[in-house]
Amino acid sequence: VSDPLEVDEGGPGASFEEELRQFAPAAASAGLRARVAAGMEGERLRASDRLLAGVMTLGAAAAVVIVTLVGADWVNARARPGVAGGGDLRPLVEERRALLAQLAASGDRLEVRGPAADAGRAAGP
Amino acid sequence: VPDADAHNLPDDWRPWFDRHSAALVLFARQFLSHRQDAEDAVQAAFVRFWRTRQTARDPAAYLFACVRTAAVDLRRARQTRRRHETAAAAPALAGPEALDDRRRLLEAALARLPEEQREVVVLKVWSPPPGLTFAQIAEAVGISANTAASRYRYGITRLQALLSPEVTRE
Repeated sequence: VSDPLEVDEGGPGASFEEELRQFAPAAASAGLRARVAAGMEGERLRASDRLLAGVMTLGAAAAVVIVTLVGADWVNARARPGVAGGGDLRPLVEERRALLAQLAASGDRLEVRGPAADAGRAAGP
Repeated sequence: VPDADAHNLPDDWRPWFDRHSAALVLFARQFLSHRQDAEDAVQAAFVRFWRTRQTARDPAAYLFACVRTAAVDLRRARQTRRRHETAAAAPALAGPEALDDRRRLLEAALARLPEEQREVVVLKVWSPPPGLTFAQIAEAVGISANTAASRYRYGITRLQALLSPEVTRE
């Protein structure tokens, strides 16, 4: 044993520790992996309640743009139960698949402006 | 001086994430009762860890230290907003269905440990095999290895007492 502090492993408490290890940490969500991937790619790192509020208030067209920019998994991961208008955006993504592909291929970065965007800002932290 | 391990990490973050993610979320939940908040902390911490991993003396300890910092910061930010909300019911541990009752008792007992003992127990028991050493836990938490070992033993003893038939029957 290289660590002298570990020498009493195998003692009276060892069987209890083995019992604890029958359980494992619950798996992380698939959404978390996608969000980390987005962070690694240099996209927005911080999950922003302001952006989520914007997605929920701006409506379908703007949501498509935002989903294109940050990724559907990322947005879904932020769509918490209890948030007004929250929910799964996958059907929307599926419906607009052609548009998403077109936007992604163009490499455009579109900005969303207007009163609804202000509503999103107002909901920020 | 960073040791060799810090420089031998693969270029691809995914295997590291897949190996550690469940334990990282469990660790973050020791500070944040909501699973979603815990995942927020892990997301921010993992990206930070990966970008700065070359500076780490011990990458595994540094990774858990990053998660701890992010979770404590987020808890501070959330405290006012979430004060009156109840904790999310999502299980923190997984195991055989036949042991579901035992798992629930274990999660409840774990929640009753003082935070300083709980975080050490979680790191020692549920970090990816072969598990963190007390020296690594000490680095992750910012205490001495002797203190880590001591908190672990107090925590395990208390947990065992809380899970004893006499207590769980009450």
